[in-house]
Amino acid sequence: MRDFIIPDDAYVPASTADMGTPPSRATTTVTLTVDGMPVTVPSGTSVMRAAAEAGIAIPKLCATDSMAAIGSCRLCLVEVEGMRGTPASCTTPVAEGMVVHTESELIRKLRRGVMELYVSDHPRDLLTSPANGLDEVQDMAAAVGLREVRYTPGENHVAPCMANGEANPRFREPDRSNPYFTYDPALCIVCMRCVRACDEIQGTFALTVQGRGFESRIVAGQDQPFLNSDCVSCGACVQACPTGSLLENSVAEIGVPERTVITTCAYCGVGCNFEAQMRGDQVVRMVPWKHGKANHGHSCVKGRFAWGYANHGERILSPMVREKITDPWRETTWEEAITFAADRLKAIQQEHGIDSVGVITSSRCTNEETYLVQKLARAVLRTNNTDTCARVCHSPTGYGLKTTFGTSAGTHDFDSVDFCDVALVIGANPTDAHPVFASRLRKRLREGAKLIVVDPRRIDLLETPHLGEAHHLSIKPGTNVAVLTAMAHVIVTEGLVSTEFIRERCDWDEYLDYAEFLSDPRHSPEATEAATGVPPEALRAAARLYATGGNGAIYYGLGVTEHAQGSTAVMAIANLAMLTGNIGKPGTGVNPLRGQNNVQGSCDMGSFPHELPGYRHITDPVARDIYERAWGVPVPEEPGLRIPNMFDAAVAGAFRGLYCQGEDILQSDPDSSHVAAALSAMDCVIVQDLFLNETATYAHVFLPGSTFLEKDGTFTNAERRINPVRKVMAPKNGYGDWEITQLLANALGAGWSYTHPSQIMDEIAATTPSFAGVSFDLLDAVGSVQWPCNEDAPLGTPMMHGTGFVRGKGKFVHTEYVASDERTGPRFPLLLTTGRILSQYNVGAQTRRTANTVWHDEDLLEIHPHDAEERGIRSGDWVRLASRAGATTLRALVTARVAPGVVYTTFHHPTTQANVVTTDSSDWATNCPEYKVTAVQVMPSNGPSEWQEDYAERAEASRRVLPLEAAE
Amino acid sequence: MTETEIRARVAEAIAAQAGREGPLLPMLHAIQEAVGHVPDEAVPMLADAMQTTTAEIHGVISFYHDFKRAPQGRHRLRLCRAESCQAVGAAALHDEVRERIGLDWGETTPDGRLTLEAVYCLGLCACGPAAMLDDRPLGRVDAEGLAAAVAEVR
Amino acid sequence: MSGGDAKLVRMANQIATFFETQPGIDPAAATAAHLNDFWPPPMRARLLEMIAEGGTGLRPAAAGAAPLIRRPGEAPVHAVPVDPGVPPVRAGEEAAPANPAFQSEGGSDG
Repeated sequence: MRDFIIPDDAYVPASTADMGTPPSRATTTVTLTVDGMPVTVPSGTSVMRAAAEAGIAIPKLCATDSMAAIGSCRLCLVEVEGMRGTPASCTTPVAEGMVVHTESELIRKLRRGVMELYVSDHPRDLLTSPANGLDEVQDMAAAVGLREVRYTPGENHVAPCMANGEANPRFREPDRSNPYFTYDPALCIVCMRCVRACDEIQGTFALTVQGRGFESRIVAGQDQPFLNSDCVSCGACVQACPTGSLLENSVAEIGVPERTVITTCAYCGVGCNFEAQMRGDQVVRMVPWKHGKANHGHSCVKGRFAWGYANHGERILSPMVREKITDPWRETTWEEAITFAADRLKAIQQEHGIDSVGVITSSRCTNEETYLVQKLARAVLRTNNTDTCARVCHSPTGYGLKTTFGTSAGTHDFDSVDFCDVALVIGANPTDAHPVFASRLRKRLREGAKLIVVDPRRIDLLETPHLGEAHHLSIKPGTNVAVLTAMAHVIVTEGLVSTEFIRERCDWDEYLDYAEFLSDPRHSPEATEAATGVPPEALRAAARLYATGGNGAIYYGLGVTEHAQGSTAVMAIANLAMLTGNIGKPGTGVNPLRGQNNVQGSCDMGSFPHELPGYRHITDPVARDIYERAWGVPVPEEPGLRIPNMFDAAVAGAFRGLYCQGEDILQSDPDSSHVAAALSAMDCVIVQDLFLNETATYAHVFLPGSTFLEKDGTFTNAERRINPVRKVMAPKNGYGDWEITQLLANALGAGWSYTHPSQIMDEIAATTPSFAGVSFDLLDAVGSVQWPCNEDAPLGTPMMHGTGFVRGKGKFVHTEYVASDERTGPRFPLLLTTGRILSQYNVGAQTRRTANTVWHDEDLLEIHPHDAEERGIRSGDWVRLASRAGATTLRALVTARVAPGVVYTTFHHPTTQANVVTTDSSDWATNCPEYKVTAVQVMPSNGPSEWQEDYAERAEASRRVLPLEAAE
Repeated sequence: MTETEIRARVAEAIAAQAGREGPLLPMLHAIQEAVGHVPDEAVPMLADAMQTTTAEIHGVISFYHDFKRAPQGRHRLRLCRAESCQAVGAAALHDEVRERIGLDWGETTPDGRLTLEAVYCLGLCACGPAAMLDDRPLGRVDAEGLAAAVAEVR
Repeated sequence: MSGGDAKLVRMANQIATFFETQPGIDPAAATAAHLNDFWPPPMRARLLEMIAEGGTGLRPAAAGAAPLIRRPGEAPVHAVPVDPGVPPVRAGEEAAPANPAFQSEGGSDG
């Protein structure tokens, strides 16, 4: 039986006014009178916020509604009948029947006195300052009616020189070390909003107040430039700063924004909503939207600052074609490029059969665009050869959760973390890959929740400032299933199961059978230690904590799925949640941290070769009927090729044409030499992207794509939340990605006539039960919805499986550990695992073309001191990384963060060619590549490997472009 | 003291105080006691021990004037400049003392023997002007007496 | 054996290995169901050829799946969730009574 919880705060308040202090979560209310107006608010609300609800803006400087009040600036004083003196309204909670006056002769005098003090140590001439128009000190001076500053000029923090001409020891030059924002101490009023933002919201604690009294000043780290400190450039401090002391460089360059469009970030699966603040069609800055349900006004460095790639010089704006991939590119018209592509695809199908061509949909493009690409494959090319990048990341999540629970997606939303008591984080590194979620998790950990991390590396989450109880199970790559099954063994044999939950929500006999399987000594922590490397007592302690510590939530990532037993591990995770009753209530659940901005969406839209939109198998008669009527053609009935199968078939000569939208398979898929061989063997490779990526080296047609700023559509994040993407500028390349797909489809005879993406969403809603209620109008009204969104749940479904699983009873699956084929041996004695870093995103196509390169301009190989010493390797040395698939060269970083025997790198830079080394080992159920386990050897090296040199030469040659010939 | 010695002493000081509730200030005092000041190298070590960041530790250290980031003289002369002592002529006294011993506020003699510091209230208001030479409180001081006391310490 | 063939054998064996650990089902039937749901015709065809040629290197459950693997061109099975407890049905045959506990919105994901 399905059960959906309907959200009660679905309507989006239109105002982004600063209410002064955070909202209260209390359910009881209080009524008070402010300036004669009655107002009713939840108990625990501050007087300041209550006044704001009544439309009264009490002057303030240190208070803002994203963080707890500290009552520092003394500007927000009010008079309360019956209370002595003039309390600060930000730190005074409301009381029933309270009578508040926000204006009086006394209050005016006090406020002017406060502002007089502030202004006496503040720049007076702001007319040419970047902060002009943005400095709240200006606003507050005006609000309180300040007319004179009686303090004679003396010691100050503002002027570079003193009256006697000597340098002012209190003056500091602006800190411009960070590429995106500037810190100008002269404007600072030490309200501490930045420190509090870094502490409470971001959780990095990179800032502090140095000194005290008049000597107080905000510094980063131990009084270092921002770039050298712990600062991760999330920009929360910049957003919080009331004076413009911390200010975006783009505002300084362009000016104050004049209009705002709400849209969604195109980087990771958190799906932060942003205000694109514009002047005309130019983006001035991206400010996280406070009403974004996934991010609540916060973001990371990428979404907030790294959007400049849309204007980068390397962006391709004209279509290009070439007969052979060894020719230079020839710029041409859209018509010619599309016709070229369509003719070739048709010819290939004529000669080699219908299934000799296929498509790869993008997990970065919108739902509407993805839907069209799979429709192109099925309805126009008449093949099920369509796949997407989820293949290489979370396809095991789909298989595993569908089998155990009945839905191929996460069970909760991010907000649920606020109710969790034990967070079990497996194979995920959220501070790097899902930073905004990690900040929420860190906040909860600071409040006392406990942490268990299962990872071969000591991830940054374990270094959380003010972390309480934490356990790190440092596991040998490839042994997740052994550890998870051992944890289940402990829970069952020590009597820690939630019997009530199992009896009600699962099949009891199936459970008994499963419990018997688990109880076998071969699954005990003691027996599995040899394979996993995890000390038994540590494992037992972790298992007991998860089972008995209160609400237990599991968060997992690609460290679970990108394995030969990825699907099995997902099912083992689901088993753990069911055994302990950690499902169906806030603070629990199984939460896959989906990587890309729209990978969830691209799966939802039927990008897989065996599924139509909405996860219905291509042989499902009901689904077939719906689509055959909607599209007017029969739906092909055999499963198509998955991406790895496409490569195999290409090498065998059977697959010869590919339309690849927004995906750089050569850099991101494993076993690069195999991918290159496959691409070279094809007759027509069409790449639709922003830049000449690595895959384009082997392409015949290049169709320039559009960025998220240049189109309307929707992205679906890891919470199943459908977020709107709104156009803020015309596409520089001429067309939105969906228009390009339509052009290609029509050149192939499709006859499509979409004029706006909302029509595509309407078609999706009409054909997909779980999306039936979704429309652009709904999103305009409520901001975002989590699917399923239909008659049963008109405003979406934040939490699933509340009283029953979608498949009925939860299914326990036996999870026997099977060692991966990727085993170490004398030739390859180390295990390589891969991951991501905060400042670069995935293959780096976008982030490498922004100032983010200042943080991570090359991939490094992390190696443990023992292994490094054995090989004579020091940090900074070039090393050769080799596996049975290939070899590459990169620089080493010696660190004890990885366990002995394990090495680690990222794959953000094409010059590294990290995937030359990964193999074709993959998950048994979904072929998700086993990126996380590769047997390798590491040796000192002289320079780039042969592969890298050949590759670099080839890539450079392939990027030559002949300009469009001028018309006579 | 070599850098290694300094680190070792800092580590010892941290370890000795770690079991207390709210141990940061005791650790800082212990480090200053052992090393003579709170060296910058101690900050990351303290951050690790307290499960927090260098910024937070730096904020605490810089808040308290008593914690010094650089080596001080072997002896410290602290002169009270708070209101009670001012009322009994401390300001003029201090001008004279500075002249006599040749040090300004915060300065150390070239031979590393003595550092002069301004402090605000030693709690000796009934016997002002007040001062402290290392651990020894001094009351009703005058320029002669201070110069003599200072000359005695090496 | 060619690289491509070796890969097919490896993948088929991986699938069979999983179903061999599941209680109360016929691993060969479950393997066949998985292949029918997720493998495209050319891959299934080649696997069937290899099995016909002797099935070297294939686990018994993988080789034993042959009779239930859908040949290219045969009518597809009606969509039943890949529940290891329910063997696939060929067109024209009676479906085994579906276990309602396993009915859900559609086919399973992969």
